[in-house]
Amino acid sequence: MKLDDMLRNVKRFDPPETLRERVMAQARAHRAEQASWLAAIGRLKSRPAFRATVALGACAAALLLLVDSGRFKFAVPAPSTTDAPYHLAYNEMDLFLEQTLGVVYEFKSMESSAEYQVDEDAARFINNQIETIYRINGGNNA
Amino acid sequence: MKVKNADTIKPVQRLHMMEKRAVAAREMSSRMNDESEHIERARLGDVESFEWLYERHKSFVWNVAFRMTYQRQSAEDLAQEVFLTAWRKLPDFKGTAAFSTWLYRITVNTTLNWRRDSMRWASLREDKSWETGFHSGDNNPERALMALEAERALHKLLGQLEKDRRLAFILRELEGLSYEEIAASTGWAIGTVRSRLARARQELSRLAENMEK
Repeated sequence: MKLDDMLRNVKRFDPPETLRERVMAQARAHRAEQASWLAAIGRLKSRPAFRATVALGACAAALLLLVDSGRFKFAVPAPSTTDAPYHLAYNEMDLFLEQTLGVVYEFKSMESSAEYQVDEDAARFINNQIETIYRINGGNNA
Repeated sequence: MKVKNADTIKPVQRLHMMEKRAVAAREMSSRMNDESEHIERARLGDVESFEWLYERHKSFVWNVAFRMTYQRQSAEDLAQEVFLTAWRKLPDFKGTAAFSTWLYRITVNTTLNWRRDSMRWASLREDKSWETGFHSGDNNPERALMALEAERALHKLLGQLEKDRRLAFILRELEGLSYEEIAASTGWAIGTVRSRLARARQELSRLAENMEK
């Protein structure tokens, strides 16, 4: 059979009735779903809390858009210069210094005792530590 | 058709022709008004108006879906998807193009997306289940048999065409769309439509000849 003959003889098909039923059933279901959504939104819209939430959301979205577009910038925080020893809280540092200095003064007053030689290294270590701490804090007053 | 010279047409005949044309124009205009009214109502969610649109355009969608798949169940799934997409997107329909063109575009997009699944394509090529319950709508048994034979041959040939060419061929030769309408619904340039059609015709003629031998 030649192509032209073939095309002359083919017929158009009628869609089955089941297609119409399926399409319309789905359309109705979709419509009902849509209607229930719209009704739910309508009910919510009458509530002040919902309105406030929507307004807040809109403000947040607007702010995000502004920030995202680069028209609005938050203050850039100063670069941190904190080193490891500064991680100690100030109160803790004060307490530490007080206690350490107390030990050192007490130790120095025992210089003439027999225990002097034994604790010499410990005293030197503590002294160095205090000096380090003061140096880091901007002064050398140990 | 023999074209009559204006001088040879009698005044009564001329009047009759003019009346006929006026009636046709009125019918067309009322049909268009009907359609735009139904579109507007369907956009607002009127299911009955959507049903009216379905009845008007079902033949095109079904015939494209059927000849792209040649399987009743798949064609039904595909056609259903087309109409549901149309129903969901109707509120976005601006009316800048004709409704039919808009629906053609949905049909084409849905069909091409559906066709991307090559497994389905491969499995359908040899499927002859569509022949069960085939009804050409012709009461003459000889003509009905010829229709079935033609459809069988067309199925075999279309199955060997690449999907874009196949779609172009169906839209032009079986659905009678113009080149412009095909271009608008597929998004292809007119030149592309022409070349795809020419190649499709060439390929099908060659295949049909081979089939005869």
